[in-house]
Amino acid sequence: MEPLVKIEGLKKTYRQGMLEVPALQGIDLKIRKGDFLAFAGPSGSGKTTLLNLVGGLMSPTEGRVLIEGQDLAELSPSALSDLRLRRIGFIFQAYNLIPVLTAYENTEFVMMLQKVDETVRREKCMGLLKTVGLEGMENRYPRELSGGQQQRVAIARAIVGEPAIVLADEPTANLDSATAAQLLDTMEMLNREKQATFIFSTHDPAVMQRAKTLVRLRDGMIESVENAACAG
Amino acid sequence: MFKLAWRNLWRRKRRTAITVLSITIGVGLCLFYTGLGDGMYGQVISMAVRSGSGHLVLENRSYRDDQVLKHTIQASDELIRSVKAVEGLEGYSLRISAPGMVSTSYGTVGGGFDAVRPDLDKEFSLLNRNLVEGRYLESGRDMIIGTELARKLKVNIGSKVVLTAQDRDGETVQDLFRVVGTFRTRSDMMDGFYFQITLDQAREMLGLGPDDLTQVGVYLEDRHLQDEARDYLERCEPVKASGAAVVPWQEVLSDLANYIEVDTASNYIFQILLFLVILAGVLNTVLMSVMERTYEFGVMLSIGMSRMRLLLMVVVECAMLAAIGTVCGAALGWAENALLYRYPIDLSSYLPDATVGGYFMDMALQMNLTLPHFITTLALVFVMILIVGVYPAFKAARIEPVDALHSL
Ligand SMILES: Nc1ncnc2c1ncn2[C@@H]1O[C@H](COP(=O)(O)OP(=O)(O)OP(=O)(O)O)[C@@H](O)[C@H]1O
Ligand SMILES: [Mg+2]
Repeated sequence: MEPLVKIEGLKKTYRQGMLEVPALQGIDLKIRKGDFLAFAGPSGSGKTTLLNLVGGLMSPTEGRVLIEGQDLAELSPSALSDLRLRRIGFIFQAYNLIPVLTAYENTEFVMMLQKVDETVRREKCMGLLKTVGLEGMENRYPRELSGGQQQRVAIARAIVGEPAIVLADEPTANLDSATAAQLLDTMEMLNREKQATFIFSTHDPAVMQRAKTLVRLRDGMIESVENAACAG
Repeated sequence: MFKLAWRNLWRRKRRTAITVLSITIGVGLCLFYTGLGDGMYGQVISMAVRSGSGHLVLENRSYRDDQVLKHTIQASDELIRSVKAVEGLEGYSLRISAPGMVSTSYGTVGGGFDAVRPDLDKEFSLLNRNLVEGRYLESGRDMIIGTELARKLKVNIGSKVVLTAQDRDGETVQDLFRVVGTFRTRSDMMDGFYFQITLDQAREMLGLGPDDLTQVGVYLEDRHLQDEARDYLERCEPVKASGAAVVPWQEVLSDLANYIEVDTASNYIFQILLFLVILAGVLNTVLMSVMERTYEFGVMLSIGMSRMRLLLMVVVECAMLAAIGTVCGAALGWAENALLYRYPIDLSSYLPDATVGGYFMDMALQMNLTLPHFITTLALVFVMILIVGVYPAFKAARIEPVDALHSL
């Protein structure tokens, strides 16, 4: 079966004036549909860079990323943003949400861009916010929500458009361990029930444990790939 | 898209209010300045026109180049009826203008006079409004003169003076007049060298026929009706038949017209500068609001909003701001105009008397915004703000999502 994401010889070098910072030095990886995959590694190992490359937010120095067989480098800017809109959901470490929009409106935003009908939007967003445990908070603004609640809105928004992949860069980094565990419960549940593929990064061992596939990075290279026994 | 933009503005009330306010004030300022200009010229023109020619003058085709009594027109009943039919007519004046000398036992002063029909001129005559002593012309040998001229000749109300002039054949003729009133316009020329007598007496003295005139002055309620009135008169059969030319005040008072033209040009330059200052202010506010939202735009771009849509969104927001601001500014400008039209700010006690192109000007700031100026100013400001808004929009659309997300 064709992998959902195929990463081939991926390299990324940041240029900082005269300095060249090698962030990724040759990554090869295939990610199956339905995976719950974590990139782990110390700070500076290249997790964020890798996620941004997979999400098409930046282009690699060398190598390529294929999503559902499509090479991202071959897409025009508008096709790329369309791919992000329809096939990829994003969750960032913090400040995910648009401050002037309510939880509901933040979730709805993606579907609005997808030009989904209003009634469908309403039903789906309300349902999803309920699923992630935010029933009754739909009309709150981000500043009126806790960090964990904000991340739940971000998850709802990331998956409401039914993307093939949800990319999450350290989604639990700003949360305490109990809240982080709850958030992971929600992600796992969505992974199981909606067959959404999650790719996230973390340096929290507790979070790594929950991954089906754990990819350890070090100095921009893959150190190891572990498949959880149960996922085998 | 409109809903999205509208919501963005509505949810950011403070920022929106600041921007709208800056546009409103800008527009109000532009209109204020334009209105003052219009008011000032309106004042000067109406004053000049009232003391001189009228907005339009019917006169013999040769009169402009050779102003002698040979070049008269015949004021037939049909001609006068045509003049009366002019749209927006405030009044008309039947005149004989000529140079003349006034003498008393104290001396002689050369000047110029208009012989008019008191019943026609009384209504709108600037001299009637500026009488210092005595009364306006009524009949017979009545004469009114400027205070300065009266001083030089040492005459009072009731004094007799001798007028010397040339009749239509160039012969020198003299006649006796009685000063019935003195006027002060504060224009040196008018007060020192100008006087008026009655038309009937002038015709008798100068040997002219009962219909002979040098000019018919046409006074309009609104100077902007001038071109239409001119077209109309030029097409009128009786006017054509009389062989009269229809001359606008700009030709009769060409010095004043030139002066206003030059002054308007320099005004435009100032106005453009004012405009730029205002636009810079607006640009700054819009740019700031875009910068503030870098992170938000980064999120929007990364979750799949296209750059084109983001650009459009910011442009639409800006257009809405511009529209609201322009409407508020228009209201402000209108209010300013209404207020300063009715209650001009009188500066005459602070500033010395001033003349514009030889005509005395009331030192009162009066706004009298003309509709075309009102509309062009608004349209111009609106379009300029739109153009100014495009730059921040492009800036927003060029944001790199990765950098933007790093920026906090
Ligand atoms: N915009 C940039 N310009 C220059 N160097 C960068 C840039 N972004 C990242 N780097 C460098 O690239 C390397 C990988 O960075 P990256 O952010 O991918 O690491 P990370 O694993 O996400 O780290 P962390 O756990 O701290 O988030 C680091 O050495 C970092 O300094
Ligand atoms: Mg990182």
